[in-house]
Amino acid sequence: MAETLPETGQAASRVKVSGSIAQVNDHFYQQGWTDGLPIIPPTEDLVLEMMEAGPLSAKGVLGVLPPLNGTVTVEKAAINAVMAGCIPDYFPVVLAAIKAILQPQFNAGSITTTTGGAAPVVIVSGSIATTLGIHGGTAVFGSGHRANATIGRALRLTMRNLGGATSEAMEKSTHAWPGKYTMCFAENAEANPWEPLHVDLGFPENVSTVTVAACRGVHTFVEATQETGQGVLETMVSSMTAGGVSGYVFQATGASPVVVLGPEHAQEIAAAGYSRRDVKEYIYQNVRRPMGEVKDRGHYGSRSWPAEFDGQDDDFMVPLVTDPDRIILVVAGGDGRHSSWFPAWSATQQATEIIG
Amino acid sequence: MPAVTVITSAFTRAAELRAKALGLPEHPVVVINHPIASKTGEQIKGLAQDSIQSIIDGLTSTNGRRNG
Repeated sequence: MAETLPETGQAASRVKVSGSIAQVNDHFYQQGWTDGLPIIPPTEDLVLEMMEAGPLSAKGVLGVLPPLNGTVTVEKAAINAVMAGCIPDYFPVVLAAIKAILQPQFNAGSITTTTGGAAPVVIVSGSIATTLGIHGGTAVFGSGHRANATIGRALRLTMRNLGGATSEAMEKSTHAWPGKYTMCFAENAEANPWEPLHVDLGFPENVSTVTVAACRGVHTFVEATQETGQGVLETMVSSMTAGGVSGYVFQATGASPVVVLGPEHAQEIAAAGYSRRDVKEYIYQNVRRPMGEVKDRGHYGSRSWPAEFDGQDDDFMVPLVTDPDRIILVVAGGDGRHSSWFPAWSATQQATEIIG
Repeated sequence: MPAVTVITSAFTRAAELRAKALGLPEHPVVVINHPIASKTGEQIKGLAQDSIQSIIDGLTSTNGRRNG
């Protein structure tokens, strides 16, 4: 699909750096342009090659990226993609991910400036994942998968270099987590017993999408004894009802936790008769904590929840989300009895873009 | 509309940079001690009382009014 953007972007400035690859990397690091890992120097030919893999022209403006409001041109996105190690084929995915974080409800500025350690979890759904080798299998959040590593990193470098996401400037996380380097993966289409994520989100089957959700980390749980889907779901509930989860006081903002079922768990849950929608409904109904354990703890003082929750008794069960569709449910990973969930950051909503 | 930003000390540098990015480098900022998330309602009222003159000064300053 042809897309037009405002052609008002200024060309990126050119810098001349001479020396060895290590010296060039030193220079980029000293300037604050990298995440601390080595980069591919974004020479003009490499940047041009990157842009040619996307459908948009160099001066096209994707948007303004808060908190420091750098103008994200296609050229500057390509520079960060080269630095991150992307091959040009990945560039349309990088562009879609950037467009997703620029959707206003994602709240990219506050994700950078919060102490809460929010980073985008980037989920690719659809056939492009197979085409590009975006990994959804064994060690799905781990290292060694080039597309995953570099697409997520390109997004983070863009947030650093155009949004000001550096700890010297706007990044204020108390801890943060490695998703601040990169966190990108695909749904495991072969192992998924249900319709794909992007269909669940309302997109046509024949497109591929990028979904972003701002999360505070990854929490893995094991269920290796129970062999029924019901048993897996019950263990998931106990994992998601720990203390200190900020979502229990921020339902009104509409943030999305990401639940990633390992294939074995997903297949057992499906075999127990649960549809994708049923799983989200189960989480909504059961992932709840008693008011007596929620109030006056965590971020209770700055709570943003439905007004009717105020004044409820201590035994009122507070849900993590107030709408099952706030839950992003994904099937990914390899063999084994493990699943994971990413607690949502508070003041954000998920965003999805079709990969063009 | 006149405006002033109230932040805690952990965000001083971030507020300066954000004001600059918005083209308002002289935007008045009132800094209170970090943290506030753990304070009681009464303590917050106390902090507000302590800051109120600075906030009024910011709102009535040339730079505060210029924001509108």
